[in-house]
Amino acid sequence: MSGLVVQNLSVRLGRRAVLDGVSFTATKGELIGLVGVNGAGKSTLLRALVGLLPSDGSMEFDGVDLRRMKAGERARRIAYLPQEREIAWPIAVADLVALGRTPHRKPFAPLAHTDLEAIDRAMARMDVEHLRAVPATELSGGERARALIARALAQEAPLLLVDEPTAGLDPGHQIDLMQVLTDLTTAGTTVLVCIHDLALAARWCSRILLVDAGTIKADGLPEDVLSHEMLGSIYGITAHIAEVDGRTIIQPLGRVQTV
Amino acid sequence: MRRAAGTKVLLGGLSLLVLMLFFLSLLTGPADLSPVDSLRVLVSPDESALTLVMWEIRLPRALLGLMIGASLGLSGAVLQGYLRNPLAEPGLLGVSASASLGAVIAIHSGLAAAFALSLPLMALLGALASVLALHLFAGRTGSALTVILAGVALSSLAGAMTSLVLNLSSNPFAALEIVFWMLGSLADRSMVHVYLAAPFMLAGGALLAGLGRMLDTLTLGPDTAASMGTSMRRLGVLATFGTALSVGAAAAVAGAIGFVGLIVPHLLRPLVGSQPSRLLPASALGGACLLLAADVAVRLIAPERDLKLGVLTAAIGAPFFLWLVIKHRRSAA
Repeated sequence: MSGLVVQNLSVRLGRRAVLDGVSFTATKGELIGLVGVNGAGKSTLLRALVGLLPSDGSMEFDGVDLRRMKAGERARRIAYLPQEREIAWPIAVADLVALGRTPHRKPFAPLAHTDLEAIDRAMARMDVEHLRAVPATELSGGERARALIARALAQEAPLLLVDEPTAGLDPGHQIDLMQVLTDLTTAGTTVLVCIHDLALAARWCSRILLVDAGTIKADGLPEDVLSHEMLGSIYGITAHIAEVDGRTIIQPLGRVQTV
Repeated sequence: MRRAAGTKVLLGGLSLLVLMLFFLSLLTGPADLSPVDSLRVLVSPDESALTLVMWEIRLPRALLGLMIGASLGLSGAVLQGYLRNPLAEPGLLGVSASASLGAVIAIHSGLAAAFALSLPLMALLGALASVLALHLFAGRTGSALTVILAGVALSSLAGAMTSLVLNLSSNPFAALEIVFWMLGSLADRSMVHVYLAAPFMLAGGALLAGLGRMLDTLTLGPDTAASMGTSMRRLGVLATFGTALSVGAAAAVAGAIGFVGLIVPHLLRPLVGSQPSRLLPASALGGACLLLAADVAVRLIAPERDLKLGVLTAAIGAPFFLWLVIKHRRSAA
């Protein structure tokens, strides 16, 4: 089976089950939005997939057990962008993006021609080329976010897991980013994105996984999953839902009034 | 990426400087010797007193300065990268303090007087015991904070035990010897010290030298590093054991020499674009430069008084540390 196949994935932190029997598949070229309230288990799901957390159940990518993969091999197949945007040293943006090539490089070898091309592609996609020589710690919040996303893109892995990439970006760059993710899926990459912005999720994702209390509550097209009933029961909100040019538009309006 | 060329120039310059300071160290001493003859007997030794001076006094001193400086510089750069903290230094792990404790026990028990090599051997034992204890307390999680906390605790414990030995020492000569040893010096060391320390320093250096790329990925935090294939546990084990071997061996033959591992990576970081992998070789060379220069300086400043090397590095290092604190405070504000 090609793509990502997750079956009965569970993660426990202490005695609490943070993920409880999650199953889903993600095929080549899908842009899947993970939505849900804070603490639902979205980030935990991504972290478990990259092997940052001990988990039970099975996870396979293109028929290979993710847990049996060596770390370097896994890193060539899965790129991951965590929510934390830490940069410990003032390295230049180009050096930061180049870190994404680490899994592809031989020990002590300099960057190969293919590496340099991948770095340039990623920087162009995230509009950080002009910041190439700027120390990454001196960037604005949005620039920093874009540089870090470029790092994950430079990894050029067939599966991309990104946690809240649009947070801190202005509307223009939010749309640019969603367009970049869409372009990647067209080129065959599978993208899983944790996202709080329901408007962006509805507009851009080809599929929505609604995570609630460590389980997958709903899985389907944005217009099917993000219904008035679901938004009310999961988020406790009302929203204006409309369709423009065949795309679902969601604008949260307020809290559901309880009598 | 353009930095790569700049880094090569820097490494070339530093190598040249190390070479010059190494020769300067060979030619510095109380005996007024001809530079040409001095270097000649190093290449072709004869029966003269000059050969004895050069081979038994000057050469071991210069070699130890080179090796110890490189070890301190390299391990300082690795630890700052691993702990992602520019204020980290090898002493933070408690390795130097534990090595001192081993040496102090050797002096106090009279073992050192009976068998001279027992001092560095006991010091090495102390260093290795401390890193094993460090892993016992902090090893499993591999988190930087637990490593620092355990290192501080071990360092304090070794310091307290050293004070206890001094406190209970009934022999004032032994106490004085302990104090002088703890100040750190390269004077009166022989080739035996070089042979004793070299294998440990080389082994430790080999463990540390390959960590550059892992440390680079760690710039973006442990989660991102792990997602790019870096094993945090492997990195932690190699960084701490490599430091223990090389810094433990340094402390075993030269006593406690502080601040080199703190200052050198800090000074060189801006020159290599702050990339940890480029900092490692630069910092090793820079450490060798600093220690060789300081060891020449102690001989020139006070030729008759045996000014201790550790005293000089601390006297330069502590104000520098304060300057770092002020700079850090400003950038945090």
